[in-house]
Amino acid sequence: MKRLKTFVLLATAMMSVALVADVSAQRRRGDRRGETITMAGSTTVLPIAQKTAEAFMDQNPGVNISVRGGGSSVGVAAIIDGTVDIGNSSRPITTKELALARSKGRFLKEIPVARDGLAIIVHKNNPVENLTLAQVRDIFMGKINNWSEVGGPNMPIVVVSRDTSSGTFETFKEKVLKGGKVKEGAIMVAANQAVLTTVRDTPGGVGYVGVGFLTDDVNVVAVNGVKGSQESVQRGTYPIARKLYMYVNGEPQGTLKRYFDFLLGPEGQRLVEEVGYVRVK
Amino acid sequence: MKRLSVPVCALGLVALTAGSGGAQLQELRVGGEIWNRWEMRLNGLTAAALTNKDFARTNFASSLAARVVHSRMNVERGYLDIRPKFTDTLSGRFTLDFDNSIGTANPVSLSSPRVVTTVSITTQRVTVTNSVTNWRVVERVTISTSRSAVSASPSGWSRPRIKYAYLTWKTPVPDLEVEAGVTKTYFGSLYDWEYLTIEKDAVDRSGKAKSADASVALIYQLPLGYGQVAGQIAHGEGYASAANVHPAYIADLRLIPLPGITLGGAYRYQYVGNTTAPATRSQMTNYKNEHMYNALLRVDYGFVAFHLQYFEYNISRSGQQKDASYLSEVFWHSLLALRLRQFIDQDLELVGRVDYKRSTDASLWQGKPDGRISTHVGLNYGFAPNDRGQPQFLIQANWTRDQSEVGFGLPEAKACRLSGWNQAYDLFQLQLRWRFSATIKG
Repeated sequence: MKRLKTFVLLATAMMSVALVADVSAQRRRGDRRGETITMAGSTTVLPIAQKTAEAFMDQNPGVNISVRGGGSSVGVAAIIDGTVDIGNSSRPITTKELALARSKGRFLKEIPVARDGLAIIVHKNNPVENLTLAQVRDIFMGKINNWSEVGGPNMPIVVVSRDTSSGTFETFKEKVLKGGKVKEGAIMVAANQAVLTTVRDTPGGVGYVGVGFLTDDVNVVAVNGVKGSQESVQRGTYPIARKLYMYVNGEPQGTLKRYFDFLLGPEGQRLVEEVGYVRVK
Repeated sequence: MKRLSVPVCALGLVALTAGSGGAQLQELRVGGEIWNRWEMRLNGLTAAALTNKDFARTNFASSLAARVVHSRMNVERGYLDIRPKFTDTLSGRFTLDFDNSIGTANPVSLSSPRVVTTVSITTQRVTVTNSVTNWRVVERVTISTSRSAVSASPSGWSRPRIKYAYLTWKTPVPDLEVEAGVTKTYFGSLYDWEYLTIEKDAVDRSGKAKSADASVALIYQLPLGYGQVAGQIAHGEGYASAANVHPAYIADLRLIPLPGITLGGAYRYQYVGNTTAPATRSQMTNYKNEHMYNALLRVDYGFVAFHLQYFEYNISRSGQQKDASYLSEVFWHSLLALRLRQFIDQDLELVGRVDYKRSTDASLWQGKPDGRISTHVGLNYGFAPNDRGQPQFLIQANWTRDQSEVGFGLPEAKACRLSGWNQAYDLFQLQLRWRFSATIKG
């Protein structure tokens, strides 16, 4: 019992010291690192992070922002461990990750910074106007191989997809394929523009691009009755869409707050559209 | 590849993908971790020193040298970890744990011939399409063994053991998962001990519960990150032993009422049947029900982490109305870690730990109290962080002092006289842990 009392007293004393020390350490850290922001995580969020970081640093010469990818899980793990200031993620944090963060004394704050939507596009002469999400999945997985099976002309379907390392493909995989694989023989290209060009030039072609990249050279097919556009993504009615997040520890302060004010303000959101995503507000 | 001697049967692991609609390998994560360790143990005072009135004036260096039991370098542990992700809801984990004879008290006899089992691990990427079923095999990892008799060898042994081999299924119920196979044991700190000290977790150290076991476990995450509940039916003896035919039932609760504060409670029950004599679990007559209780408190805030844990183990007699426990053991564990990263921009931790094992009733009745107090002081230094910010290399330096609780705090000679056979020992350890991993996308 005496030993237990000693343990408890020691613990209370240490926690008191820790509270005081942590407040002053945070203040010191703010002074020392107030001009440095580190972020890591989702490759989908990476273009937004890079573009806005560059613009923010241009306007704030004393600030240095370092950005790296690694994936959403990496970003969330890094912010939980406290090794970065911002964890980027293209998915909401899981309950398990939230519990881990709480157990480590982290007050994680979720900040949606953009929306990501993928429009399904076909050749200009293709009369197909609407597909169900299941049909889109079956087409890209090779279970449906002719446009006649979905109300179109008797013409083989030519699937155009992004390479598997891209954030765009990551969104498509999550929202459409759901564990399935793109059919063998699909045309794999490296950029949204390449998808547009290939579908434009291929009568039987079908592909997907960020809604920010749409042009009049191709037809946009509605999915479950809703056409992919910036408006439908922002309204939340389009099925192939998701929010993109940044996670921070506690309420942003100092330089971090200024960065988020910039990112969520008019100029930051304009940059979000510039890299092919949709404003969050 | 170095020949390995293993006591287990042949193993095989094959990853399949289906052409359409079936489970596919979305991702494969392969990693490993190695523990290189130097360790020196000094035993306590000898009987001769105890009887020497002039002991304090004897030559310290020669006395110290005489107390060294061992000073050795060793690859204490090696882990090979393979984690396939088949679908968004189905994943697996297969971990091999390599250990060797250097750290054991009884290496293989030099005089007896042995049967050696050779293990080889090969990976092969093949694509075979079956036109009828449209199934494709695209990745194959095969672990196979062959056995042969060899004559006695003067060398020791090393072996792989299964640490984990389980599947995880995310059920349709949100935040509810099922694990099946050789899983972690969800009891107390057994399943999330982070090795802040070189010494293992207190419950694991007690030897009463194994850190991994063949089991089926349900794990549910409480909403909003407020904690976790786990229920488990396990073999109960660790995966390697078949001594008990009755399973163990385990329940574990973790609550995080506030960020930085974790409260935990766990209970384990197993029917252990009749045994023959008292004083140890395997020597007790009519002692049938094994109970384990665990409570923990963790405070993790800022640069300070503090852990407090209570663990009780007892076997109760069946048919008794009161005072049913005969063999009871109680353990306390406390740990304090100071993370200096906030102040000096280096991944440096100072750690202090005290474990207390209360003397058992049996030892007290026999007049030979067996309670122990071990004190650990250490330093952890991490460097070369990976993309998650975790150090790929970790240097740990620990000093451990383990002694009888009798006479604790007294000068060593007097304490040893009081505790008799339970002499103290000192352990100095220096360890380098390094890890690596790679993710292969499907």
